[in-house]
Amino acid sequence: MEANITLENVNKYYGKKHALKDVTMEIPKGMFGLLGRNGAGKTTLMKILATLHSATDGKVTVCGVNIKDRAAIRSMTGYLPQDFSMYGNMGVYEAMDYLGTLSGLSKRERKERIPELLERVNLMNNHKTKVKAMSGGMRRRLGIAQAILNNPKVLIVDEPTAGLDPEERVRFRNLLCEIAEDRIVILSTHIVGDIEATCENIAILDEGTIKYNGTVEDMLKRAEGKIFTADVSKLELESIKKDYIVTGMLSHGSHADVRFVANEKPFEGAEQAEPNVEDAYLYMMDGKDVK
Amino acid sequence: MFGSLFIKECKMWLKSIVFYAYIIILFLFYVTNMDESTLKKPKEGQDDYEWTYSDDKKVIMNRTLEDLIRDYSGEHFVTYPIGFYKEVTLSDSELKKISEYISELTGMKEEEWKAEYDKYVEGLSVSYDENGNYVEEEAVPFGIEVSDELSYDEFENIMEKVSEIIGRGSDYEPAQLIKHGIVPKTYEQALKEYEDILHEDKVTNAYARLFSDYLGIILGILPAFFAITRVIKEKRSKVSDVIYSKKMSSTVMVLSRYASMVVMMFIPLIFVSVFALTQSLYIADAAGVSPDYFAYIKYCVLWLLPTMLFVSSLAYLITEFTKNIFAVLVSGVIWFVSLFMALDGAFLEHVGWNYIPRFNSLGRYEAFNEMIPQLIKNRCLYSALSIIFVVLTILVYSIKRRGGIKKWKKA
Repeated sequence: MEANITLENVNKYYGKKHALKDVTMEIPKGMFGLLGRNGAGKTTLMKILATLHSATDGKVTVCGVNIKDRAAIRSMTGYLPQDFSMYGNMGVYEAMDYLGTLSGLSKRERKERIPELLERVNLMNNHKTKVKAMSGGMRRRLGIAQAILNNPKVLIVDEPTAGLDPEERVRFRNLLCEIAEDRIVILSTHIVGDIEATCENIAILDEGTIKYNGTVEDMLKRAEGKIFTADVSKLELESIKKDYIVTGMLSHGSHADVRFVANEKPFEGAEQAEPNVEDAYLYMMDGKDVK
Repeated sequence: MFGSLFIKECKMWLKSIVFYAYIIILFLFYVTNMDESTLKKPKEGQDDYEWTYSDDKKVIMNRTLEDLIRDYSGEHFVTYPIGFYKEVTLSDSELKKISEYISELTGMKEEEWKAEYDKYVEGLSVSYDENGNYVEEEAVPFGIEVSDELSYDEFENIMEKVSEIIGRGSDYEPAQLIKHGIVPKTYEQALKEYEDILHEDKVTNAYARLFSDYLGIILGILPAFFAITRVIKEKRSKVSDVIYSKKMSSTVMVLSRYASMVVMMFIPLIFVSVFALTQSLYIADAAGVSPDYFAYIKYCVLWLLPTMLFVSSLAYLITEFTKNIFAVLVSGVIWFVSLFMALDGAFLEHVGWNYIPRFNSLGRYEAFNEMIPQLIKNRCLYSALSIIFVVLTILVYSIKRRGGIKKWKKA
């Protein structure tokens, strides 16, 4: 069986709003990052892959199975929605047991899998804690545990690190990397750092259109020679902001070290710099149109 | 998988305040309405054997005429539109019309029946007995009667016109005319009713019917809250996306939820019925009759369960469709209308196609037997409707799980 996801000319309309525009791409095994601004269409795409929405037209296959075969797709996917929650008065174990039943696991399978997964996401000591009493990070960990209960071939994770503190975010990203060893993990986020730390392949979605689809390495290559740094006076800063995409800035006294995107060396004193993923992302999003 | 999910859904109800509120309301409703006092055998020569409604058409016609003349003379008419008391004041022209109908009923001229009535009123004396009760004594009997030439059908036609003038919900509507024919029960009638309760109903069946009548009222609305709570709980907890994405089929999900709510509503009902049964067994024992131990469970399953199924399935469908508490309004309106639809005729005994069958009488075995064929049809209808509603709920749920109906394309 093919271990990838293919999308061919996928469109999605909500009334007159064209949320996805002819999306065509292939998602291979491993961690795959879906990057884009809020409202770019990431959640719509994730929901289509999780069979929660139907594409208006186009073709989607998951590991060789047409997305229209919802029962088959649901049995091979795990989904962690953006705002994961469970019934507040359920305990952690109880919630896992309930969702395990919905995933079609037998009692024996649930008894084996649930403690193992709770251990893995570091929730075993909280197995009786009520969902309503859990912190955002704990909930997210419960969310990922429930999403892999059925040992899915495909794991769809929508904005999993939003709202987490830096420590929780790093822990969560590491957990995802471990899980991605033998399956497809699609991580949707608008936080570039999450992608940088975890994904080999990414797609950038903007207003429903795929702006980039490929490896992180290739995206960095495309931004090579387009990123500059300069030490400028604060008076010049405004005009730089107006003409270029500023990706970073560090003030010191009346001067600032500014990092920005430009198609060619913009002025004397500006020096070319090695692009990082954030620079490359901003270049892909808007940088091609700057000077 | 169904069994496992069903048990989990049942356990969820054990943590729900709605479940415990339901038990309390059910029990309070039973305690405050059911009167299971010991049966007393009528004795010959008793002062009275209570009242009943005559089926003698002549009696019904004359008593109705008497009430109509009294209301006309006092210019005081009453209606019960959707069950609420309302005083009606008629215009001069409307009173004139009523007067003409009275003349038509009696075959007498207006001056003649009015003179007769005046004579009757003049002979009336009012006093209070030693207990302070109001007593009316007639020196001259009420002598105005419906014309011998008038058939009952003609009488009903005239009364229909009268009730149109007075307004909807008056006691002059054809279905309500029997209420005017109230007469004292004879010893034989009272004894027959008593014997039927003992030997035909074995006491327990008579009380089980009364139990079903009362509990049917409250079960005509409470199950809606179970269904609404279950659906809204999913929405409020924001668990829809997670649950929708799971492998379990919509059929199993909806059926397990529906079955669990029905079972969790039915079990407390059985407990309350066991409580009622013990009271009935005591009465049967006191009367020396061998009781029907399965009377209550029989009525709970065949009479009350279809009501429960219908109310919960309708509310489940509406709430799953709208994802709000609109079903409270719909269920409330249907409940209200049904209760007042049953206020038809002299006894509160009404089945028809009402989803809350009424039989608010202890005993009256023969009257109940006559109602049984319609009761069976009625219960089958509401059971069938429940199945249809559940199937529609499965359909709605499965459509929601895939993000609604795919209707939008390029605008």
